[in-house]
Amino acid sequence: MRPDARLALAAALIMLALLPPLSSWLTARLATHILGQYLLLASGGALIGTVLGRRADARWTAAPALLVALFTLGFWLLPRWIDAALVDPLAAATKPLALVLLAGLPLGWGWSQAGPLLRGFAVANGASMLLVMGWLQQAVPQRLCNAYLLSDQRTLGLGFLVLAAALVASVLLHALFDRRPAARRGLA
Amino acid sequence: MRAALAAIIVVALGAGALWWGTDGLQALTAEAVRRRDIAAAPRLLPDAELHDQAGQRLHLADYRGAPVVLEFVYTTCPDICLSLGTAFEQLDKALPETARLLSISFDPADDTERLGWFAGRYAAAPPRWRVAGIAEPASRAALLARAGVVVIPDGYGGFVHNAGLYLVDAEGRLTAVFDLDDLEAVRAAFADHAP
Repeated sequence: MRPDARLALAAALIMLALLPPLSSWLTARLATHILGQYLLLASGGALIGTVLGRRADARWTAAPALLVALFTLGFWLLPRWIDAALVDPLAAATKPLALVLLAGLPLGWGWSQAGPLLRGFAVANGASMLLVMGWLQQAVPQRLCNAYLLSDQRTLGLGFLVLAAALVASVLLHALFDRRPAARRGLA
Repeated sequence: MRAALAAIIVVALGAGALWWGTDGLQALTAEAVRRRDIAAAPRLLPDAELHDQAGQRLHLADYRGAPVVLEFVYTTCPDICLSLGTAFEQLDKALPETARLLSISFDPADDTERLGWFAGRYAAAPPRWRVAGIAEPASRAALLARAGVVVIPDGYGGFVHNAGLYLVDAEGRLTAVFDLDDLEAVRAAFADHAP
């Protein structure tokens, strides 16, 4: 995809996540809040990050950038801050900025700068974290967010597990059907 | 080298942010934050006009002068409020005679008759244990907001809410929120507050 098309798509995703009628629909349920709004914002940021990252050559920034994304996502996935973003105006305003600029953007940038080994590590790490979070949401007997039902929490857990499976499957398919010689894959 | 240095700085900042965002890993949920906030800085609850299971009208402020244990319920609740009722039933037996218990319904549809059902289930009788509704929507909302009670529809015509046992001191300040099964803590705190 051409850079300007990527940027246009990024803007569309971010707007979709924040437009009033849709955003309140997304945040009405926990699963759509996280797997819908969070994912739209982070994807928008990631698209911008890949556009910026492709023009640059700063491979040393890959790992630190991916770490920034990891910590930002970790912070905003804390039940306390998911709840806070619904009732506290400051948290509500900070959340989309953080998810676009400090989660999505460094994720896209870091990914475009990362070598195959770091990419593989990032995917494996992401999938295992999703598995643990999915299992936790399924196993915890009490509500973690005051604003959401327990059944919502279970749905989100299931969504995390599906996402983890999809991530693993996509890497597996890549690995199985990548016909390029080993040297060109950068794994030799 | 610079990659490692940058990574270490990011990890340090990230860990710092998570430490700050969880009050030093003490509060991962909004409920934990609420309880810590209340324990650290007791909140003066706004007054509200109540109507109890006997149809009597009174004010929350009438309870000032002695500590009282509050709980928030709705009378048609199938699960958590029954646990709350049972917890109060046990407190009814465990607390000194002067102690007062107050179950406040947040459901506007709870009239005298429905409050009476709930009270009857536990043989709750004023003045020891009142089951009361709040007629005025604005004062109901103000009281819930001040106490940090979040009520959401459960999708089946009922409600889900962050349940707890609320200790209000003689000055009308909410000083602590306890878990339903932590009756011993309520008893102990009550002993501290009692004149």
